[in-house]
Amino acid sequence: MVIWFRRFGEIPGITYESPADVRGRKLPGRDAVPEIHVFELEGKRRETLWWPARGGGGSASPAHERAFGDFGEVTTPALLKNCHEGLELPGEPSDYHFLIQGSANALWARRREEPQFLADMERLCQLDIQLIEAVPGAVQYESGKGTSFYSVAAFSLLINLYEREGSLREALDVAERASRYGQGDDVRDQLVERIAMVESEHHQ
Amino acid sequence: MNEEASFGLRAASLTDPASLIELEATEGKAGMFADIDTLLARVALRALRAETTVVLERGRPTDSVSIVGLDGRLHAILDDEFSVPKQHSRGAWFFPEKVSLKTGLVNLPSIFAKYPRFATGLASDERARVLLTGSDAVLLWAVVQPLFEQLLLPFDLRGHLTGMKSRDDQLVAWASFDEIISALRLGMDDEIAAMRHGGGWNRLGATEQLAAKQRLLAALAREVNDQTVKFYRAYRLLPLIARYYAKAKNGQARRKQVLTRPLEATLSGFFGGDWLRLLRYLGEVPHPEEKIETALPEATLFAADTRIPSATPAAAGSSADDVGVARVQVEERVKTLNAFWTQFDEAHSRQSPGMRSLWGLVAESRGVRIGWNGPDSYTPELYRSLLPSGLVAEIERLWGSTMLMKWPDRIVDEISPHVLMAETFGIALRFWQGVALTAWFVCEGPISRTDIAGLADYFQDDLAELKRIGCPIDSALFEQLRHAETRLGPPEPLREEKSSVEIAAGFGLEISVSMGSRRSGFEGLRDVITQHRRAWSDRYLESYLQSRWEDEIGEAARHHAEAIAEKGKPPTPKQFAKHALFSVNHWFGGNLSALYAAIGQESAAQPVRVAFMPADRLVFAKSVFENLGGRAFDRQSLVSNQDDRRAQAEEQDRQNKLGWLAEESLRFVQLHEALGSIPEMKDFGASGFQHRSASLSPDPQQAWNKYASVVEATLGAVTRAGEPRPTTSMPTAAPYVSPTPPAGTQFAPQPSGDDQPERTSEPRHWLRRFLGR
Repeated sequence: MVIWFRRFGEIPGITYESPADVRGRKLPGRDAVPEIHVFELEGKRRETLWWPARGGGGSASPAHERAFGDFGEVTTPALLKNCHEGLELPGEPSDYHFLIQGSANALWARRREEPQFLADMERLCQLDIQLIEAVPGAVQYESGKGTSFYSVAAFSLLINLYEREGSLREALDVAERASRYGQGDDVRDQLVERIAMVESEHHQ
Repeated sequence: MNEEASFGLRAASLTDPASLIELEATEGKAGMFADIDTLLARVALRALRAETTVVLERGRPTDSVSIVGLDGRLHAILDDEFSVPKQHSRGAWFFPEKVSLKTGLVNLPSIFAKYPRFATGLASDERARVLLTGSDAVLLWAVVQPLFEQLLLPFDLRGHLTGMKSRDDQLVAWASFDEIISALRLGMDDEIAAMRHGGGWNRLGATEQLAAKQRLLAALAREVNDQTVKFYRAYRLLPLIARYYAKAKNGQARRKQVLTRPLEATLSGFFGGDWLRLLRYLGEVPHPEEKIETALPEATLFAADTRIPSATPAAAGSSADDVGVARVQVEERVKTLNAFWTQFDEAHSRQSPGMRSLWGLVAESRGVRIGWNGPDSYTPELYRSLLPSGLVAEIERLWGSTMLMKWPDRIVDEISPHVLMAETFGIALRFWQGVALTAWFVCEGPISRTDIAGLADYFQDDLAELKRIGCPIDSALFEQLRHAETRLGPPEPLREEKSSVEIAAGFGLEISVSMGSRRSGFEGLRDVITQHRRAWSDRYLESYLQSRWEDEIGEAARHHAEAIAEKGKPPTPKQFAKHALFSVNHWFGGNLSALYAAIGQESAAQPVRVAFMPADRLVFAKSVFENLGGRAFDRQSLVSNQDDRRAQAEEQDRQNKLGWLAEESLRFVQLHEALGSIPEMKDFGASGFQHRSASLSPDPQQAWNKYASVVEATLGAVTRAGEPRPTTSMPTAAPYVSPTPPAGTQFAPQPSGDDQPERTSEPRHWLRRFLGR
């Protein structure tokens, strides 16, 4: 079954408070409600969402449209604003995931020039992990080998962020959460070894 | 030895930096370092007191760094002591050309003050790749960076290296840190205790660990003062003094015997690179065999003299004939670049809506493509149909051979002569082609990589370089283009295509796609560009091309002379090849001996010309592709089930890998020419090959054997089928006789009908074009 939410903060299990500058704002697409279309393919019942919009509509939710733009020339405050606004719009969980992930990746790429936004990147990654833990289907797909998960940047970004500061326990916490989604097992093992090495100093 | 032990000899018996500083004071030596001590104190104290001290500017191809917070007097000291020309003039020729500077390390305290939780990571991000040409970079490389690397070692050990080093390695690292804090007399035992190996770091939470790091930084800021910096200088000088006397006989030692790489930095950092100043400090006299080059011989390039070759006086080590031959080689290339420019200019000046784009007129990427050749707006090898055949042939003759850096004794076939020619022409060609194409794609669509307003920004590096060499682009070009842009028509959808596909019985999918937009009025932009291009060309083209070869050949000459100044003997051809690569391949057809002649040096190389690359590279690569088992593969857009999807993806991946191997077969042949034997996998690049080798065999070595045999067999078949036979010969000893027509002669244009709007024969479905099929 296809699920959607009116805003990111309404996803059960998510703790999210909208930033003051977007809270309660009337954003285009905010009141959109999708139609559910049902069809059969290969003998299976399938559902898709159709989001009516001026000029016809399509399968992309308002949140999805915020997730897939060209942000190369956009200032970082505007990029963050786009993300925050997108999280206030209706969408499927995967739309929120890609919106957050794209923004976090961009903030990481800009860290040399704009290190002041690294804390925002950290916060977005933690939000994405919350989302994935609340709705694993956001990053899940079926393959010949069964259920698989897309690679989630939030895990590797946070592990890297903490690991290079020497904050191994924080990095390990993220790696263990990542391993539930089939990613980062080798990194987790390395972090366990490194923590053991630090622990062993005390006994030498 | 002097009757009384020299200052240096007495200093050599010391092990403690403070004792050396004391001895200097009593012996009246301290004044020698007053300026450097002041400068270093200012830089180090500023950095440790959490002020940004080094500013890094990212650039292409290298970054630049500058030390901030210095007053005029300190700037003067910095330039006097550390500028590269002044260090050269004092005999220091040992600088590496490029260095990596950890600017973030010097700024770590200031980064910590602003972003404590992410500071060590941010500091490690801040690294500069710089040419070691500026005085700021030299000071950082020689003095400041080594100090901070050692002083801030705990931040590495408790940062990204946490848990990475064995106990023994950690103890060695901590000993290095202890050594420097002891040498500098820094009392920070309490602050460092928790960070030490076995100090209980594992019991601290993240917040406490962060607080511990901040306490250490605060202690450094508190403890380090002007005297500390003197101790550091003494700490660096003691090994130099010890090494000097370890190598000295009767108090005399030769510079080359004393200076190791780290000690070169010490000489540069504390003696301005001046060996004689070091000897004065030590109270010793130069070794009788010591020879210090304080200036390089002026590079006299052959063509600075405009007389005919036979009248050119032979430079030392090269005959007049050799010099003349080399000069003719440059001259005929310049002539051909001029001929190309004429055609290039004309093609752009007559470009009109409805014609195909001129993307492809200037060759951009080496090699051939088996599969997708780019979007519809790109025409591979467009130059073949737009340039006169004689000019195409001349380009391929002049830039058809090349030298590979590792094998300067061989002249091999260039894979893409037209790319090499474009590289030789350099940034002016890239700029004017780029501007013209931007105007075209802004107007004719479907999309442009930048817009008119963004042109100057997009080409800022090229514009800066053209200005630097004295061939600037008039900024009115951009103003006039912006004005002309206001007269363009409104954007119109270029093509809107609709497709419908039945994806299941009774269930169809209709897709509507708009393919970019166009605007009328291209001719206005074109004429602005043509006017400026011609004005630029009339004024600068001759001097631009002259600066191209003078700069490249002069740069090679400079490296050659520097190597002699540093080592006392010429570099080997392999050592020289790295610095000679551009000049040899751009101006001498890959013949290193011609470069030697051009710079007035006896040739240390007698390269042999080896040639068996098939003339038609694409046909050859396609044959290799087929012989490897490659085939045209049409991946279905819609599949019936997951297994089908996976099978399609796997086959496409296999075909892509075979395509890459076939494309790289040209490099294989080139390596064969260079090596004189069939290349091994390591020559070719094992990682790149092994990434694709499973498409031939699960075992990489077996895959390599198969690949090599297929390429060689294909080569043999092509040769038997009428391609030129392999040749191995010495480069011609006589001056080349250029088949270029006399000045004023025009190349006969090829019948191509390119003045007419292009008519494509069979339009492909948009989805196929999108997918590259």
